[in-house]
Amino acid sequence: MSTDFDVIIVGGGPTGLASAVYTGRALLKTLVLERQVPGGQIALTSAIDNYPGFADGITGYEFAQAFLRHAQRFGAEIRIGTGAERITPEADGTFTVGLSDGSSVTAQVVILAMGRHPRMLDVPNEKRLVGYGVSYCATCDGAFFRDVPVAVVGGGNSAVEEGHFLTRYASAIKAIHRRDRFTAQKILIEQYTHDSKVEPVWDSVVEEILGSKEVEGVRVRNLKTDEVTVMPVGAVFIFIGWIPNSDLVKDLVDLDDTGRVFVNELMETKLPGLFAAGDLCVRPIYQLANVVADGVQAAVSAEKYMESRKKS
Amino acid sequence: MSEIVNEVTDASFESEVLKSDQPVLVDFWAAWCAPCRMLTPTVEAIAEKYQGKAKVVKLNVDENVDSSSRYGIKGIPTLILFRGGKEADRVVGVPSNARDFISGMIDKQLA
Repeated sequence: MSTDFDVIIVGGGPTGLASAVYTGRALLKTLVLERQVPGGQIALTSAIDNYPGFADGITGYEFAQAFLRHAQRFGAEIRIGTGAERITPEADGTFTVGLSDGSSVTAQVVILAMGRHPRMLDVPNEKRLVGYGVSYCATCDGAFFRDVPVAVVGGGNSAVEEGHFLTRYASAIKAIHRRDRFTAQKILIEQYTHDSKVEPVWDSVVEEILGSKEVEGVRVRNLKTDEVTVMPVGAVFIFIGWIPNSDLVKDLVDLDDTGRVFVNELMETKLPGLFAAGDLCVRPIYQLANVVADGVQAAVSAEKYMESRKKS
Repeated sequence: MSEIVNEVTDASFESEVLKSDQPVLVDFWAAWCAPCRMLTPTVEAIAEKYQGKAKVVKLNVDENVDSSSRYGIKGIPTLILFRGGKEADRVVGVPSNARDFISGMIDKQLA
């Protein structure tokens, strides 16, 4: 059956855009659906210093813009601000994708590249104070907290990197982590802990965010001593992990117990014609370079799959 | 800068936003805010879609501290929809399905 597009890519982050560069160059009619902003998480990163070949680093914004242009140059249509609400496999092997604007589009294959979103602490007042001092993005909101003490929660790459970025603005940083050391890459930890503004608060968790109209502090419990402390801060930046955006396909593919999509090395899911790649999937590491490679693999696999279907 | 989304300031906020006959969507942004810049095409598309029915303007939070602190802006992008001089709706950050979500906000006020 003829379809509106050859390939629909759900998600316009580095993975989805890498797929689009390759499907575009394979002369496949490609639609990319990006429900928020092109570039996804990488667009929110202040500086990318570990993408091989970019010797002087590049800002996340510039990188995302270049990636977008690259995909568009080879003909991909990028729809921004409209997401996929539903994916329906049809009897003839094609797919119908229902969109958030109420319309629907069809394709021979679908590549899932929805990525993931930041995990919330799930403590009192967190939801209510998002945008009023509770934040999951240092580059977006850091500048509002000039000369103010802030809390940064978490100890992985994101927490340490974004926390380091916040030292430009904040007067002091309470670096709250449930363990007794950071688990980020060593160079990031070194930069972070050498800054005199940063005070690690080990073995501790945030139990409540305090404040009526905006964040005024956090209530913190030390897991070893059970001691509870109230720390006055103007903002809480939370980087405690990620949740895969796999809700859309939970009935179509196999997920692990954290919601990540299982794929094989060709980026195939268990459903023929449905591919998945990048942060959304079970991967050994989550770095820009390897999720880009995932996107490339998914595109090439999709192209081969379509060729084999035409022959049969 | 697109002509369809005019810039408002502390000085023009009252006449352009609060005293407008139409609902006004204000995009609080800053040059350093990557997601704000990436949301711009969506905001422009909204402005075009609602031309003649609702106004869409942007306010630079760095240059217009009065307005942004009056509305308690602590994170951007923040979009506030004003109607009859009062805040009718607000969204902080880039919403999911941004274009359709923002359309929904305005449609609710026009209904």
